[in-house]
Amino acid sequence: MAYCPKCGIRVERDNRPCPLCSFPIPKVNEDGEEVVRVRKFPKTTNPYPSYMRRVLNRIFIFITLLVFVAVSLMAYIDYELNEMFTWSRYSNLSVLAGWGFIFFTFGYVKNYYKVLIGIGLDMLILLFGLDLFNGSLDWFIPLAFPIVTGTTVVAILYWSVVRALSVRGFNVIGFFFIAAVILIMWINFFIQNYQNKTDPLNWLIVTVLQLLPVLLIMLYVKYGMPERIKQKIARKFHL
Amino acid sequence: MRGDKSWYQLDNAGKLYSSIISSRATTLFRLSATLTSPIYPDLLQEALELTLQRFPFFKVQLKQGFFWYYFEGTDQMPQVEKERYYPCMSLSIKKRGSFPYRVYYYNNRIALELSHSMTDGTGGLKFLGELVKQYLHLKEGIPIEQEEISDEQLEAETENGFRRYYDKSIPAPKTKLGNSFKLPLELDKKGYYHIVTGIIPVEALKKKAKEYDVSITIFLTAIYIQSLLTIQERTSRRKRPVVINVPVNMRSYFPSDTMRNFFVSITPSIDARLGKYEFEEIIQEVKIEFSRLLTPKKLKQYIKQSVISEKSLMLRLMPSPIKDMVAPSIYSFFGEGQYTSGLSNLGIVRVPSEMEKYIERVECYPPPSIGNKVKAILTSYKEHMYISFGNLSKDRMLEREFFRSIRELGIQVTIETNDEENEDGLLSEMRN
Repeated sequence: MAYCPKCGIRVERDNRPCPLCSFPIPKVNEDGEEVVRVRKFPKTTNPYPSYMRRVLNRIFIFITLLVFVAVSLMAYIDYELNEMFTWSRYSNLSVLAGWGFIFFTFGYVKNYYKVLIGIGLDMLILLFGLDLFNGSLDWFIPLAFPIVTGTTVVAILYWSVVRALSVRGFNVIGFFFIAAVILIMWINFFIQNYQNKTDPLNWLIVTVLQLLPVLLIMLYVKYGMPERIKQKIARKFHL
Repeated sequence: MRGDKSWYQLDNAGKLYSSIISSRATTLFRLSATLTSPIYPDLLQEALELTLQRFPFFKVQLKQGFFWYYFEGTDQMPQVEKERYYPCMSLSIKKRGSFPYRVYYYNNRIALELSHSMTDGTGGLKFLGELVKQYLHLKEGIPIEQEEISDEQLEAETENGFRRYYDKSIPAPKTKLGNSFKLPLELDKKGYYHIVTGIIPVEALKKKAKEYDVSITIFLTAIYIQSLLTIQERTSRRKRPVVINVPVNMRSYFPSDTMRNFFVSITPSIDARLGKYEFEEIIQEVKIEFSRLLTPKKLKQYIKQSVISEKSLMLRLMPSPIKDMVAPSIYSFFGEGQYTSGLSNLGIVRVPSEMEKYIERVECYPPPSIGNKVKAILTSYKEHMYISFGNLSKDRMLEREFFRSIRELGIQVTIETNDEENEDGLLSEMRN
């Protein structure tokens, strides 16, 4: 029998952290003294992760079957009526892209980078198809491609930055706002460009003006804010 | 059970518990007996079957009715299992074919995990007692009398105690608890439940309680409140009252043989806004609160309270799936949300002398709850008191404070936890 020097409580086994305060309890029993210990509890398994996986798999299989039926049905009806694929191309491509999105969000791809790239490609294919079915590529090159690519790139960069941070907490929120500003201004640029209203200098000034307050707030949080309020915010938002 | 019908209604408490079941708040509590030799599963299964012959109203499954859940008799037989999950976890009693309880064995221990929708601690202990008796009869050949169970006795064991002592003319108690202190704990992942058991010599505890001229329950409740006050002092700038939920076994005040829920909760509290409390002051307050409330007259008010909540027309007309949706939030807001934590005392466990030498210890674990992430339950057997904390979070601030306080009174405390085995794996992983 050993005692925790801090709590004063007695534990069966020595040479391990105290179960209440994690203070290392020193080795006190002689080697010969150690009796063969009977386990009090089994090595427990937690069935919830595999249970959740099973439920998700079931939902995914159901959705896949539904998508298959819907796509075949729409293609068949369209072909029967028009003797060629007309409107069903739009709906089928959308449904299939939706299926792709669900595939990437259901946890079958473990790596977050691959998930982000996958969803980005899925969107590109969808938008490319929708534009192409109209006869010629109208808005895909000037609008859809840069916006989707930009969103994907910003998301990947944000995720890399968050992963590389040594202290997350408020930085996660701060960098989120920075990423949001950059993305919004990126989209803004291409929309203005499409309308032939681009003014790069003006655009740059607006972007910087938006980024400044975010940066200032981040600096204030880091150096100016009292510790007590920081703690409170951290508690409220589980940072 | 009602005559030849093979189903019965849940009692008031059971109706509430059945609606709040979730993967974390399983409403399961554990009662276990550790014997002196390893358990034989085959004999245990046989003992369980014999026990169910004695208590046929336990051979039921929970079913969903249109308005309420109910228990339906079944031909299936529950199977004893080797323990493999965290205590009081991972049993969905609403699943088809599942029983509202399970029997585990592990090394020398027989553990019975029961849903609170079926019975309370007293009813559970009676069932466990019979199970262990039958097992010891098969294994060690201890003598048992063949009981003839009359219909009257079955009737008495399944009666709804709340309804029996419900008096319409009595007013419900006026209790306003307000905003109580909450421990700053974060939930652990689903499926995990952390138990810390403190083993304390009863004699030392009794002697100490006698110095303050109170019972052990009052003494420990006061220490519990003091620990919570200390934690509040340390962690929170705004002071709030510390409110403890203490279930009272009604069978000691209103004679009943029922094996269903028959308890009400009283809520001793200390308002930290009034200033710093000394231990003696806390003990005095708790003592007065207990003697003020624990009289049949006052307790009848609490019975009234728990029955009228079920009688409201709106609640009765609400279909049970909708009840399932609203009950958890209502319960955590008006029920558990009003308490800081819960402490219940299952009392002294006594077994016939021929069984005593085969039973090493008897323990109980509280049901996990989200509103009160830590709860404690105490029981004493032979010369030891077993105080078990059930915790849905990894932080052991309350356990630490509580057992340190007891230790400071000069009483020996031995600590055991269920995390040890899993920590072993972690430690060796860290070393590698």
